[in-house]
Amino acid sequence: MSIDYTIFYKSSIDPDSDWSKEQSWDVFLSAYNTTERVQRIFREVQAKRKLWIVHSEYAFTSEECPKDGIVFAGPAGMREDDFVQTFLTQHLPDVSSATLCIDISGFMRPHLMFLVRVLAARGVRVFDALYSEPGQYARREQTEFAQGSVADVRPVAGFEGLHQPSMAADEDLLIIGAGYEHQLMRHVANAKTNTRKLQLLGFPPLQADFYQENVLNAHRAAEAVSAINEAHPLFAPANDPFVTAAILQETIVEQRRRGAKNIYLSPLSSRPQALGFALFHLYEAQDGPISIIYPFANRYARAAATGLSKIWRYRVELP
Amino acid sequence: MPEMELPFDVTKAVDFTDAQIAATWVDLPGEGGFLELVNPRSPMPLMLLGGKGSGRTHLMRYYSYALQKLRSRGSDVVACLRQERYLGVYMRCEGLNAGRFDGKGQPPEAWAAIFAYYMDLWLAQLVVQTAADAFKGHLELDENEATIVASIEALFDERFVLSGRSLQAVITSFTELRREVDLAVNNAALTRSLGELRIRSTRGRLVFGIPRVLQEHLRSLQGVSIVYLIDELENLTGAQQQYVNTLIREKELPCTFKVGARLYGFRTAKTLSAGEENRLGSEYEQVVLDEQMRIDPRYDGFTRQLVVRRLRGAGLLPELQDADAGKSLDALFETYPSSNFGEAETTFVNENYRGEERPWLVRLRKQLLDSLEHRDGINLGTARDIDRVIQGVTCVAFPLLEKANVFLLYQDWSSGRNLVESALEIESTCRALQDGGDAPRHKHVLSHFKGDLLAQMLRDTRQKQRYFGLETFIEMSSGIPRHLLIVLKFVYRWALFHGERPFAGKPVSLTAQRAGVIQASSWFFEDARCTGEDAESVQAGVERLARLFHQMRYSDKPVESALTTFCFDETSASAEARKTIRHARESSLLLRVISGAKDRNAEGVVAKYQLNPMLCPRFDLPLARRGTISLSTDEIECIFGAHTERFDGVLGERLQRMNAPFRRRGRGKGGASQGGGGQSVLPGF
Repeated sequence: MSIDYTIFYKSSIDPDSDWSKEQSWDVFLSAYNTTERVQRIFREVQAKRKLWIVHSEYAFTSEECPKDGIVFAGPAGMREDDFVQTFLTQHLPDVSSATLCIDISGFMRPHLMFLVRVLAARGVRVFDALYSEPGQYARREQTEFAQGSVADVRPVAGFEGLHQPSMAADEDLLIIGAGYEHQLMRHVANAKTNTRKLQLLGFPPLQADFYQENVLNAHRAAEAVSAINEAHPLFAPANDPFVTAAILQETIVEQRRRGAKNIYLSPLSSRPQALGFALFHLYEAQDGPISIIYPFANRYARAAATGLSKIWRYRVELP
Repeated sequence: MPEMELPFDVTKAVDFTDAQIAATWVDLPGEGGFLELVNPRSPMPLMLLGGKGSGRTHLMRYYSYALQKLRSRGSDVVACLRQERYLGVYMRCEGLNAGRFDGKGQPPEAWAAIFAYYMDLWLAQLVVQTAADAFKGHLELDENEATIVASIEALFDERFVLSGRSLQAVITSFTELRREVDLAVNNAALTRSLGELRIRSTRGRLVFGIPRVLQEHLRSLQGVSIVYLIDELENLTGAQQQYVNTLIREKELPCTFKVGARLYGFRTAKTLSAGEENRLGSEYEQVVLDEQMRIDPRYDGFTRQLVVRRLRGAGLLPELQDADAGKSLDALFETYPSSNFGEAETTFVNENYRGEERPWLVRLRKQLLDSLEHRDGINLGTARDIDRVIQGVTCVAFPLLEKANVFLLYQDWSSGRNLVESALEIESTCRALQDGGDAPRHKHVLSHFKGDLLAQMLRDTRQKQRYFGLETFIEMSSGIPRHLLIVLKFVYRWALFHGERPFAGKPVSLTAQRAGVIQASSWFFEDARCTGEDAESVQAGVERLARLFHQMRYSDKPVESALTTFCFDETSASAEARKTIRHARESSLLLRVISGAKDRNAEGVVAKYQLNPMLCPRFDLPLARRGTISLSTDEIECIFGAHTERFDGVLGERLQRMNAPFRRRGRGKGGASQGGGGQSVLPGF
C-alpha cells in the first residue's frame, strides 16, 4: 500500500503574529547563520532548551558563533553522519523522549536529511519542522549558496540504496531537484553521467519571481544535465515537503514501469523539498535501489537570503 | 521518418540507447579503426583515458556484450563472441556508489577489504549475468550448468551453498551477498558498526575464477577473452583504485581489463601488492583518446562522417554518398571568398572609414607624437616626419596591407631604425607586392600574422571576431567529438533563431556561426568549473593565461602569430604551479602539446601546453595554434603559482616591450622576464 503524503499536516504562520506564544517544545534546534529569518525564529520560539548547530561550511570563527542557547560547532571536514551523531550523543542522547521542533531554514541539506534518518532510527515518531521563507535572495538569480570547490558527490549517509549491477548502460535514472545552484546541478550530472535525468522544479515557488530565477539557473546547467524532460519538467511546491514526496512517489512508479533500475535523487532546491526527498526515501526506498546523492561543497554562503515573509510549520511523522 | 529532429541535440553517449549506439556507430576511417586502438582481444590491460566528451564511454559500450549481442542481429550470439574472440563485461564504477565505503567510525583498512569484496561480487555477478544471457537455451550450458555452479561454489573460502543449480540461482545468491554488504555498509552510519559482516571469498578469486570455470565448461568460450570493461574509474578514490590496479597486476587468463577514466580520474598506479606500482608498458598500456585524436590524421574524416550521420538521421543530406557528403559539408556554412590581400574580408573598413584615417593610423600618429614630445628613444627628426611616416604606411585600397605596413613599422621602431627610412621602404615594397613583385617581409607577415592582423582590425573598428566554417569547428574540438557536436548544436539553434533553414536552405550565416561558437566557448568555460580538483584556482590561472595571450595578440607588435601555446621549464616551477597546470590539463582547459622533437633545455624537459581552442573565442583568441611563447619561471608563478597578485605587474612589463614606444628592461642575466618577450624580429628573419 502506498503512502498518502498529502494527509501530513502543514500550516503557514504570519511572522508578525503572536505565533510563538501558541506552542512550545522541550527542544528547539536550529542551524546558525546570519540571516534574519534564522535568528528571529530562534529568538522568538518557546522551548525549554534551545540549541544552535553551527555548520563548519559557514566558516564562523569561535568569536562569531552565537552566544545565546546551547551551541554545537562541528569541526570542518566532518561527514554529515559523524557530525549529527556527535551532536546527538553530546546534547540529545535521549531525543525520543522529548517534544522536538527543528528550524530547517539554515541547515545543510545532507545534515538535515541524516538527522531525520537518525531520529527515525532512535525512535522519534513525530517532530515539528519550521521553515521561514525569505523575502528575497541576495543577488537574485545570481545568488550562490554553495561556495568553493565541490569535494565529492556521494550518497548521503542513511540514504544509500541497494543498487543492482546492470548489463545495459541505459537503465539508470537521476532526478534532480533543480534549484538556483547550476554549478551543483552540473556536478551531480557529471557524477552520474550515465543516467537519464529528470528535473523537478519548485512550483509554486516561495516568491513569484523565484520560479523564473530558478528556471534561468536550470537552463545554465542544461547542457550538462540534458534532462529528458527539459521541455516538460516535474513540479512540486518549493515549500511543501509532502507534495514533493508524493510527486517523487508518482514519478518513480512511472519510471520503474518504463524500466528504470537504479535511481538517484538529488535535492538541490529548497530545504522543504530536501525534507520531502528524505521522507520519500524513509518511507519507500530504504530497501530498494534508490539513493539520495549530494555534491558536498566545502563552503556555504552565510547570508544568501534577506527578509522573512512567511513561516511554515510541518508536522513530520516518521516511519 | 527522421531518427532525430534536431541533428546535434544529443551530445552524450548516455543519451543513446544501446541500439542507437549500434545504429549510429562511426568508425575511424581506414584500416584498423577504433578496434586497433582499444584492442579488446589483447591480453594486455589498457587504461583508456580521455577528456569529457572524448568518446571513451561510447567506445567502451561499443565493445560491451550488449552491443556484441546487437551486432549478432538476433542470430547466435555465441558465434558472434567466437568470431570477435572476446566477451565484453561492461561495468560502470558509478554504480558502486563508492563514497559509501568511508568514515562511519570504521578504519580505512576495514573499508579497503569490504570494498574489494563488494567489487568482486559486483564483477562476478556481471560476468555470470553476461554468460547466462549469451548461453540462454544453448546446449553447452544445459549440459554443464550444474558443474559450473558447483565450481563457482568452490571458489568461496568457506563452505557456501548457492541457492540453486542454475546460473540464475548464482545471480540470486550474489544479489543476496551484495545486499548483506549493502545493509552493513549503509547501516554503519547509524550504528557505527559493520555488525556481523563476513567476507566470504579471497580478493580477486571470483573475478578470475568464474571466467576460468566458464571457459573450462563452455567449449565455445575457448579462445575467447573475458574483457572487464571498467568505466568511470574517476568515481573511485585513490585507495579504491588500488584494488583495480591490483586486479590488473594479478590478472589471470582468460581475463583482461580495459579501464576507462577521465584524464584526472586515474589517481594512482599503486597496488595493494606491497604498495608496488603498475608500470606503463609492463603491466598496462595507455591511450589518451583526445590526445591520440589530435594527432591522428583520420580525425577530420571521422568527425565529418559523424556530422553526415547526424544530418542523415535528421533527414538531411539524403542524396549524397557518405564520402562525398563528408567533403561537401563545408559548403553548408557561409565563409568569405578568397580574395587579393583579404579584400573581401575587409570591405567593412572602407565602408565605415571612407575619407577618414583608420583607427590604427590614428593610434600610430598619436604614439609618434607622444614619443617625439618625450624624446622616448624614437628615431625620428621632427613632427613633419610623422606625416611622411603615416603616408608611407597608408594603403587605402587594401586595409589588410595597410595593417601589415603598420606592423612592420612597429618592428622597425622597436629595433631603433629611422622611421622615415623605414616607412619609405615599406611603402616601396608594399607597392611592389601589389604589382606582383618580391616583398619578403610583407609576404612573411601576411602568411604568419594575417589572422592576428585581421583580428586587430576587427577589434579596432569595434567589429565582432569571426569564427566560421566546419574546418574551424573541427579544429576547435581538439580531438573531442562532443565539443564539435556542441558547437554545431548551438550554431544550429542560432540559425533557427535567425529564421534560417540550416542545412536545408542557404549556407548557415556567419552571424549564426559566430553566436554558436561564442555560446559553446562560454559553456565549456563554465562546465570546466565542475571538473577536477581545485577547480576555482585552476580556472583563475587559465583566465590569467588567456588574458596574457589576449594582450599579446592585440599589442602593437605581437611576437608570435596565433599565440595560444606556451612552454616553460618544469624543473624550476614550484610544486603549486605545476599542480595547477596539471589540473588544468586534466580538466582539458589546457592541452598538452606533443611535439615530434623533444623540447629540452639544459636542465630538463620543457613542457608545452596549448589553451583549449574551445576557450579561445571567449577571449577573442585564434583557434589555430602556431606560435609558442616561452614563459619564465617568474611568469609561471604569477599565472599559476603562489604569486598571482604580481600578475598585472609582470603582464605590464612584458607588454611594454610589445607596445610603442617599446620600452625595454635591462638585459641582465637572470632577469625575471627573459622568456622570449624581447624578440623584435619575426621568426626566420
